Amino acid sequence: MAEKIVSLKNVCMYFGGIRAIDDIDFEVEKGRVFGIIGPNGAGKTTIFNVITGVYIPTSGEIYFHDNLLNKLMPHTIIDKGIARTFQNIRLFEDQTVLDNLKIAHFSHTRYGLADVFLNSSRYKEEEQRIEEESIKILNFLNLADLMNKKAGALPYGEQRRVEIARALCCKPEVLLLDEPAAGMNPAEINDLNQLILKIREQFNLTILVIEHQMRLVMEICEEILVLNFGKKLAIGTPNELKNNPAVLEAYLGKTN
Amino acid sequence: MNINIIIQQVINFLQLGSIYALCALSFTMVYGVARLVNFAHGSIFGVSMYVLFFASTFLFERIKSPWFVYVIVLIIASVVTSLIALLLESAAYKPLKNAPKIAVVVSSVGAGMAIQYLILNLAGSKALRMPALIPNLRIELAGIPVPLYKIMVIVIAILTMVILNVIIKGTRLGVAMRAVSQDRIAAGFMGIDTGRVVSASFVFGAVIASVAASLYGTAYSIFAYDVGEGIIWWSFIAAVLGGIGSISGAVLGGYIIGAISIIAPILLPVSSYKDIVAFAVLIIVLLVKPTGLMGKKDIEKI
Repeated sequence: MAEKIVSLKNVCMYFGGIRAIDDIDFEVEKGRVFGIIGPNGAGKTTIFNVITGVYIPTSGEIYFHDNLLNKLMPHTIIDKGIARTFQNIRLFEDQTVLDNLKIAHFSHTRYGLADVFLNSSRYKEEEQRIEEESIKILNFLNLADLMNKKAGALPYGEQRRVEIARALCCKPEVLLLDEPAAGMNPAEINDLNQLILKIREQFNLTILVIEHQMRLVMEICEEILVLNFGKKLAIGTPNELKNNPAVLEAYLGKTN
Repeated sequence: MNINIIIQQVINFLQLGSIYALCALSFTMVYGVARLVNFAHGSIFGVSMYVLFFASTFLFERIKSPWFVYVIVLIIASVVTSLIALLLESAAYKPLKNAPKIAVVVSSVGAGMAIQYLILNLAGSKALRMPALIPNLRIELAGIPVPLYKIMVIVIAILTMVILNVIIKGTRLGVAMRAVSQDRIAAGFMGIDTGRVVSASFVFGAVIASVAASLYGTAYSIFAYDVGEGIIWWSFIAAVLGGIGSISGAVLGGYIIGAISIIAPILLPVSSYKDIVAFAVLIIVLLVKPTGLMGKKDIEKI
């Protein structure tokens, strides 16, 4: 049995009377690409938000390895090794691509105020290390040409890739991708599929991905969670789900 | 007008502009990071004036080295105002985290008034004269006598801005502040403790306000309990003129307001017309560029 890296146990998140997610249970094995699908409003992003500390779940437990994540703030969760991207891209738009990546090294940077004012060797070495690591990741994602461009000025697809690059700079073990293929055409989705598999390999990641694009989900996910109205509808491999009547009903409507 | 007067007026402009620039800077910094129009900031400035007054009056009788006293009282004022700013943040702003923005603005106005009237009750309404914090020597600039303290006010203000710039551009805290000001949620996911960065911005605001207060006290010496009121208005206007949230904008706005305050009374028949000119400039700038001179468009994405 493979090692479980992320597990949710009976997690509920209520906003007043609205049950955004209701009694969700699942486990993700280390090294997997794990998909989360479901109609709009099914609670997919809410799952990411409770894992990453944006919301504190109403009840239930969230584990990363054996550590309970409930009630931790986003910045502590990042330090533990979970990074994410956003459905609405959240780059620091006024800053260059390279600076965006450098910010993501925040928790791994060690120099003090005095180092900056004295321009100490530690400061220079740290800055150089951060810059080199950032450029390495940009090269890996074929984004090096853009490094001095303002992030906000890039086309949508490139912004998404920069966001993935930035998340990688946080040195995560688990990467959460929230609709990485939104707004992409079929050729771009193919590239993205390759990219996701490539970064998993290179950075030894476990990847959770929310997606509407069935091509992406069916081609690269090894296990998929299907949500409907905040509840777990099904979980299984792409092939198992293709023939699952409950999933077909939620997606295609009832057939007689 | 002879050259002598022109040079004097240029120095007066730089002095006043520097003070407004620092005040606007401290105001805009809290706004930029915490997304909060902190109208209580004027009262923080007021508290700083009184702490400087009492501490320096006490120390000047005992210590002979004026520069030493200046540094010490500045540190005392910075610590006191930082504590008040942090108290204000946790008592008046944090509990309203999820309230509409207008509630926080009203809360800041209320907190500011409470502090101001606390000063009135503790220290009385009598105007006070700040001891000369910066030693007053006269130097000659191209044959024209210039009081040294005015030059020192300008130098200290610019030095403060330079140090602040290094902190914001180079340090981890500065990087974190810029990240939080651009996108607080994303900053959290970069491993930045956003709550602490916001608190740090309040401390920065208080320390800069204390430096500004020491310069104001040096330049104009007479003050009363409501000293912060005028300052907060002009620094708010300077910050909005330059583009609220923008550091360079606040500095630019501060010097523009300073220039108007010096030039307008010379050219206009009644000196208080300078306020009309200042507001007219503000209105025209906002009509042409609603985000202020250096401000950026802030599109809220849903």
